[in-house]
Amino acid sequence: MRLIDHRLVVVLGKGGVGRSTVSAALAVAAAEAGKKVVIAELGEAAVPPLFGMTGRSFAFRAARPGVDVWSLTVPECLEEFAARKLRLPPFARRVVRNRLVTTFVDAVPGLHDLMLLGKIENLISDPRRGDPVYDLTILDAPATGHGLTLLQAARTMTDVTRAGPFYELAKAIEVFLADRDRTATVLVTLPEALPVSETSELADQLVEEGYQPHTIIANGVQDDPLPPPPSLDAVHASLARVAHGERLSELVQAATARRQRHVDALTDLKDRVAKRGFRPPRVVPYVANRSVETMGQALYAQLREDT
Amino acid sequence: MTEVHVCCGVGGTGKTTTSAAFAVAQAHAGRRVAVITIDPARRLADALGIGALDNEPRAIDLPDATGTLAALMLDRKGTWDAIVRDRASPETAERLLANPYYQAVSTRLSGSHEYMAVERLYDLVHDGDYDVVVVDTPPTQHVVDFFQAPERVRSILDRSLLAGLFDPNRFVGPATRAAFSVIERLAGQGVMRDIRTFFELFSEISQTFRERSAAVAELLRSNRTRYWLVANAEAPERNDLLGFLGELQEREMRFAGFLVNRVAAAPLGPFPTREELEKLSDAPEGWAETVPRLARLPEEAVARAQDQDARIDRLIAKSQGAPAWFLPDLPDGVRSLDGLRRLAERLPPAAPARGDRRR
Repeated sequence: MRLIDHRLVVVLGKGGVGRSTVSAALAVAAAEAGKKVVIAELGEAAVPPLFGMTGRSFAFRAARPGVDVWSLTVPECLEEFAARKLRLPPFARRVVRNRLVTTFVDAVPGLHDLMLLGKIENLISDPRRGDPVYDLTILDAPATGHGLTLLQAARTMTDVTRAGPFYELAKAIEVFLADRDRTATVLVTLPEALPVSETSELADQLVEEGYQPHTIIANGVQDDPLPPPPSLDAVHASLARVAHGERLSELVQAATARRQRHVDALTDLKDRVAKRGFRPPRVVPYVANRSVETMGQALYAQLREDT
Repeated sequence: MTEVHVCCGVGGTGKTTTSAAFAVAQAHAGRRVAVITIDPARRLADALGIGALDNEPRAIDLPDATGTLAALMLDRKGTWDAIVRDRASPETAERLLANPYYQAVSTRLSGSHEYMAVERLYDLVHDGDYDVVVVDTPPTQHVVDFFQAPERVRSILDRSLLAGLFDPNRFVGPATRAAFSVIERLAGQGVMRDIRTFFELFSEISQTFRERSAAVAELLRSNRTRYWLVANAEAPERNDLLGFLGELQEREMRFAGFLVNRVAAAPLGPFPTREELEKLSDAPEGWAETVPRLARLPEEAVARAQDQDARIDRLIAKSQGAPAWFLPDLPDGVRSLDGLRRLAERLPPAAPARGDRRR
């Protein structure tokens, strides 16, 4: 099944690999394929600036044709959940802002994540009247604990609780996340040695938790600075015959070393991915002006061929 | 007296590698050094060239260093369990370890990683085996999470603050009663029972827990502890800098400076012009297509270095001119002790702040 044909894509990866950028590029790619997409981010405002927008908002905001952005926080989700489950009249909803309730929510591991995931699951499976309908929700997961904690939140909750609305919500989320026709996970990595080895560790952990990573995306892959011909040796030999050529040679060396580092890391990534039976990794190219439109087009070219 | 250096920064800034390089630099200055990493991805073990790290310090062989280096990786659950076993009676300890709420707290409560890191740090400082302890803090979304987390965990576990939450008989006001009823209806009664049992059992050790966390907080504030902010030259503004500095100031903690990673070497011209390249006689095949690409390289390198400079200058200006150390972007990456040593040469105490930006 193609990545962009799922209902929910969870974008995971360690800090600094560009999860938000890849989430945005993925949304552009899906929109190019005719999907209506929303990017959900949790408590952050990292995605809106990528589309030239400012701030964060719990309202759905249009970022480009076919793509909306949406920033969720725990209090907003909790208030809505409590109101919905307990049928609280509007004047009674303030109760969830009571210090006792917030302390409780802080003290129960996984409850924060459960509230956020619950709102997303609700939007997809059981939208409120007036909620927009999206073909695809892309979740820009937090870096902390590699976002694994987020996926484990439902299980943490079913370990701690045995009945009640939190328990039922956790069960529903567990079923939704485990359903491979609806939910897919994407792992983002950088084309460098350590991030690649960490990403394959994360992939193994995901498999252990029962989630098969759907696609691995290497972000910021540098093009060959000087594609042959002439060969690199010929370039250096030619530069030796030009005034100050040795200084340019140094820059050529640095640029090709960087490119080589990416090539080596990608080869390693392909090996690791093949060994685990995952589909081949996809690539988001390094784009100097960091335009998510350009990255999205590159991703679209690869993802539309998916099966 | 053991010195403590805490390396802070958001994920992805190269904090773990920098912490390791910092520790190597201290060992080369003749000191007995321990570095704690909290990183579950074992990056430090990779960079140090050893297979794995665990909760106990493991000696790292540093040829021609005058000091010593040991490294350990925090095992969060192991540290929690050890605290419970050390401090509670055997019977209470067994019941606590089996409590579902305890298991969730010790493995998944957010902030408990940070809290246990500080606990482990406290042990190392008190062992007296080290002159310097370097701490690689857990990857957080915001730098300030590291400081807030231990307090959050403490306040959650402090029975005197929370006991009321789990004892319905104590509620008198209608607002609190309504809040309690909301929680109970959402969470179910079984959870409340588990949590109540947890706090009853935990009360046996909460006194020592409180004393110890006070001592840990004291250590973090004392003048033997210094804080470093690890930043990435490509995007230093990602580091939630003002929040971090404000937090340190508010707590009277000592900010030592920036460790800026992946700094591009400023390219050293002059370079041949495009015309000079085009005029080359006996040029190899494909040269005409290569020349525009070659001619672009100096521009790109200068632009990259200038972009970084501007970002780093803004960072330093915002901190009233705090000292900064620059770590070069090694073209083949940092994969080994040798790479760490090359970074260590640019770090205190050997190197001056704002050292040479050339490789």
